[in-house]
Amino acid sequence: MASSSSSSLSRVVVKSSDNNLFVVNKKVASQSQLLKQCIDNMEEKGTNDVILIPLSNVTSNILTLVLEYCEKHADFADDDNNNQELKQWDHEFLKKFDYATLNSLTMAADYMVTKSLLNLCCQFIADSIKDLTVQQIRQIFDIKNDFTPQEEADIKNENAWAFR
Amino acid sequence: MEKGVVNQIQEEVDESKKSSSSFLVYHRRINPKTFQNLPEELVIEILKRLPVTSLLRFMCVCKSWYSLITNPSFISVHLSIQSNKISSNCSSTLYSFGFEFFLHDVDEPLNDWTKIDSLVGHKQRLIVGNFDGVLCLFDHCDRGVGPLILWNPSIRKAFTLPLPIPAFRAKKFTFADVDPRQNVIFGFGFDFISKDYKVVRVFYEWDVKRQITCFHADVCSLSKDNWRFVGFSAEGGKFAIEQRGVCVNGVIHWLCKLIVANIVVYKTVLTFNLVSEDFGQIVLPNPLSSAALFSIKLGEDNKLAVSCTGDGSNIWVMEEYGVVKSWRKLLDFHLGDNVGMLLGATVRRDGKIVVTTSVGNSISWDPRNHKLKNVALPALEPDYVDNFVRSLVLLRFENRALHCKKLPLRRTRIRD
Repeated sequence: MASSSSSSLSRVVVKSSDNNLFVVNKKVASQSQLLKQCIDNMEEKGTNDVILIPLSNVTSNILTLVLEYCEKHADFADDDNNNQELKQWDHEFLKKFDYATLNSLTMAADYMVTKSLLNLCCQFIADSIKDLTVQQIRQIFDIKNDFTPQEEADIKNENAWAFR
Repeated sequence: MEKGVVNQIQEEVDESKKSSSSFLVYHRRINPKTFQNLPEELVIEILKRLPVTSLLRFMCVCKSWYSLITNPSFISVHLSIQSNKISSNCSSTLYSFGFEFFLHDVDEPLNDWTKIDSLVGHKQRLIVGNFDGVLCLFDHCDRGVGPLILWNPSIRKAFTLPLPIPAFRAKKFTFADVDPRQNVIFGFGFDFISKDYKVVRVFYEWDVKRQITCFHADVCSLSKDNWRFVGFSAEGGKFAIEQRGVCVNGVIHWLCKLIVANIVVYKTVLTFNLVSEDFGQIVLPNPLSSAALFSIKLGEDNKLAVSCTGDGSNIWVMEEYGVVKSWRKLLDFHLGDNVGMLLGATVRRDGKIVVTTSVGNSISWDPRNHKLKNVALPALEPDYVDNFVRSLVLLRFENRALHCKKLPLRRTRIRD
C-alpha cells in the first residue's frame, strides 16, 4: 500500500459543485492555496486516507480548466515567472474562452486562491477590454448607466481627449 | 487502494445526485459575451491593470465605477501595479532636453518616442523632479521666486502650488548680500508616512564669519497647500549644489561639492527627509569622481545610485538605504572619450541596463554577457533621465495652472 510508507498524501479527490470527482496529484493541487491548506491540515492530523475536498462554488467545466492550468504550472513550479514557453501557453490557454467562461474562471481562481491564475485572468480581461468604448463596457459588464445625460457629458468633457 | 476509495466516493455521490437536482441550477442560460455578477473586488482587480486612458474613459460607465476609479486608495494601488510592471506597456523612461520632454516606453523599439507637450502659455519650464508620474516644473525665467507647477501628463492635469514666502524674508535670517537667485534649488518627492507629495525650495549661503553654509528651506505639501520653514547649517566648507534633487525612500538628495579656499575638496550628498522634514548628509563611495545622482529600479525598489567618471565609468548603488557600507558597484566599463557623464540608468524587463549620457547617446549593457550596445536617442543632449510611470495621481485635483490647454500626447519616431 502506497500510503503506509509515509504520512504524506500523494493524491486528493476534489468534488465539483455538480458532484463530479477529480483525482488530483498533490503537486498539482498545491497550486491552489485552498487545496494546499486542506492537504496541510490533513497531514498535520496524520491521516493516511484519501481526502475529499468539496468545492461548492466551482462547476466541473470550470474545475477542469483550473486543474489544467495547475497541472501545467506544477511542471514549471521552479521558474514560474520568467518562462517564455509558459507565458505563451498561458496566453493560448485563455484565448479560447468567451467572457462568461473567463468570468467563472476568474471567480474560481479567486475562490481556490490560485493567485497566479487570478492575476493572469485579470490581466487578460484588462488587455481585452482596454480599447472598448463606454457603451461596450456597459454591455459586457451588464451595467446600467445611472448618470444623468448632463453628468455624463461633464465627466466626458473633462477628459475629452481620452475618448478619441 | 486509492482507486477503490475513489470509486466508493463516486458511488455515494451518484446516489446523492439521484436524490437531489441541485446540480441542474448551473444550466441556466448565460450570455457568453458578458461578465455577469462579477464581485466588486474582482472588478477592481481588473480595473487596476488598465492603462490610464482607458480608466479616464471608463469613469463615465456608471456612478460606482466613477467613485471607484477616483478613489485615492484605488489610485495608489493602480500606481503600484503599474510601477511594478506586472501589467504590460506602462513603465517608461522620461528624458528632458531643455524645455522639451520625451517619454520612451520600456520594451518599445529604442527609437520610438512620445513627446509630451509642455503646458501652453509657459514657455520655459524646467524640471525639478518626477515622482509617481507627476512632474514638478518651474519657470526658467523666474528662478526661485515664481510658482511651481505639478503636472501629470498622463491625465493632463496641472496644479499650481501657492507662491512660497521667500526664505530670506523669514525673521531669523538676513540676506543682505545674497542674490537669492544664485543659490536656489528645488526638490520634489513623496512623504510615504503622511501619503503626501511635497515640494521643497532651498536657498543657501556661505557664512564667512562662522565658516558654515546655511540652508533655508521652505516646504510645501500638496494636500496642506501651505509653506513651512526649516533651517540647517553645515560645516566643512562652502557647499555648492550641482544637480537637481533625486527622491528615493522619502528623502530628496542633492549632489554637492564642498569648496575650501576655491578648491573642490570633495563631493557629498545633501539630503532632505520629507517625512521628518530635516536635513542630513550621505557619504559617497567615491567622494571625488562622482558625476551624477539618480534613482534606479532594481527588483521592486528604487535605489539611490551615483555615476562616476575617471578611470573608466561606473555606477554605484546603495543597496540598503542609509547604510554607507552597502554602496555596491553595479556597472564598470570603458566607454571611450567624449561620452560626457552618465546621467541615469534604467533596467529593462529583459534585464538589460540602459545608461544615458549627457552627450546624447544611450548605451545598453547586458549583465549576462557584459555586452555593450549603442542605441539612438533623439539627436539632442538630455539633461535629465528618470523612470516614469503613467498614473492617475492628481486626478482629484482641479486644474489650476493658468492657460493650461489639454493637448494629446504626440507619438514621434526619431531616426530609423
